[in-house]
Amino acid sequence: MKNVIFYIVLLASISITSCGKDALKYDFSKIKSHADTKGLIAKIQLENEDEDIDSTSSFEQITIKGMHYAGVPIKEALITDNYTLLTTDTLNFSAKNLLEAIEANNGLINLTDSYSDRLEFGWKDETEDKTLKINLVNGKHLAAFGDKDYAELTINYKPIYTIPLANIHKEIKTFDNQAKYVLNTRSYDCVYDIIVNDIIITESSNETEFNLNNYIVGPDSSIKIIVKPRQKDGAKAFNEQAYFTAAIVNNENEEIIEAIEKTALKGSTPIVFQTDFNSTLPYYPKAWTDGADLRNDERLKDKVIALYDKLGKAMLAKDEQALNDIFYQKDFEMQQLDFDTNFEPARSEWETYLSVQLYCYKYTVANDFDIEFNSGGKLIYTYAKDKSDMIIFTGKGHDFTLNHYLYQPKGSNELKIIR
Amino acid sequence: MKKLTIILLFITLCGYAQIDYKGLVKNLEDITFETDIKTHFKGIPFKEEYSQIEFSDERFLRFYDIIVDKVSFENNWGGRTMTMKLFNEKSDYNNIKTKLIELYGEPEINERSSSIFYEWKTDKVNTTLRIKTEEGIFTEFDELVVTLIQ
Repeated sequence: MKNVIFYIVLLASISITSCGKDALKYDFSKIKSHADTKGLIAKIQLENEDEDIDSTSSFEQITIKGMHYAGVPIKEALITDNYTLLTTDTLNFSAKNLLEAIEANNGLINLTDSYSDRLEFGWKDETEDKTLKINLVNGKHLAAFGDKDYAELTINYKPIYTIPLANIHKEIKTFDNQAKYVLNTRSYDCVYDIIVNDIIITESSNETEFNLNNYIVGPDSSIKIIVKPRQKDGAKAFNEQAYFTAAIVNNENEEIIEAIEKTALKGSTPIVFQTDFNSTLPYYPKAWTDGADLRNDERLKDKVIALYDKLGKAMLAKDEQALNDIFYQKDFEMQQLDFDTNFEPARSEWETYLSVQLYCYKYTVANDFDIEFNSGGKLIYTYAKDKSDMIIFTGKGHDFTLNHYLYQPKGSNELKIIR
Repeated sequence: MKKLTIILLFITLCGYAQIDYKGLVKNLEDITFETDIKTHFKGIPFKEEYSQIEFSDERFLRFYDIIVDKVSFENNWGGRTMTMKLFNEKSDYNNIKTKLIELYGEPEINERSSSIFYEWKTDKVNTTLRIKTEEGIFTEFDELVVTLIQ
């Protein structure tokens, strides 16, 4: 008897579920690309031959019964080459139901806009951007939806990139203690050079915040700050009110790691502040640690030119694998040191390279440049003298320039971009 | 029992994972100076600017059962300030005023041509309610501020 009841209940559940699924046949929440959309229209067209549906159209309005988004009925779907717009019916709390269906998958977020009769949300993920407009007909707000309130969901499908450089976020490891070391400065009437672990990270700057993680390769680090007169209006000495103060802070917990007390600046000689600091991280990059000392490399200038030339050729040839090989280690280490699992930085960087490939038709590499040796000669930075930057891509309407820190892995004869 | 579990599992798998909206509702009158705001509101989206934290999803904000449009928290030398925006419902105005009188007694009132300012003061909490009026009649809320004294 118990078994009979069990199977009756199970069959009833299957029936209810099946009926629901039969009524709601075309699920837009399962669509993840423009190609998927075309596939769904073709299916709708095939199963509704009496209706006038054109699966090849770039602007198709469909009002077939059975369309839904995660179980919420859709009254009308407008499908274009650029976006899909789904509109719900004005009954059965469709706006509330659609909002909750999306939140179940994408999570709660803040409103992006709010008007007296319209509320807007926006979600972004790797495959699509979604904008949900809730139109209040007889509702008041999110805590008092009306049954006639309806929703318009606009979906923009994004291209899917398989290249590892655009998918770095999937490789990023997270840890309990993700320290982010930042140098904060306060000063008046001076500029400063900042040298971290024997790497000049800025010269004659008056910026007030510097991310240090990108220059850390172990638990013990050093910082040297050379504070100089601003030399404004021909002055060579510090102004009488000039001062400098700084602190290295772990931005994750606001802990002050090292502090340089406020110091009055006098005379015209640069003042040097120097200290070691604890730079413990849960991850240390390989970076330039296995790099060769380049200070006596007679072919170094040729190697620098060869590297930027290789980059220029790869970009113009749209050689995605070569670009990936040139930039991957740099981009991975920098995103890992930021402990950033967001998909956007790598995707955005990759799309910048794609746009250079699309719009640029030539490149120019500097032939005359100064080389600055850092970190015991393992890391170099170059200052172009005959061009504005080390490599300039010329395009229709805009130029794109690059200049990076370089190193040469031991055993290799080629330089690599590392920061 | 096993079969019941199978049925429940089946029904669960056929449905969509839902958010526990009721479980996320917060009664703002429960907040104290010691409350860790981010922990207390865990799961609810917020905006943070300098020392101010703002929550603006009315589905989860209540003050003595009245729906709150948005609330922001800020700690300063005097204590913790909780500033609320309410929806312009006259019934909410009547209910909140009645509740505050019940809790703290008659307020100090400063009435002007187009606004009324109510203030309730105790050793531990100061509450101010500012409304806009036309001929002395409620038209809309300005703001409701609760200062939890340190």
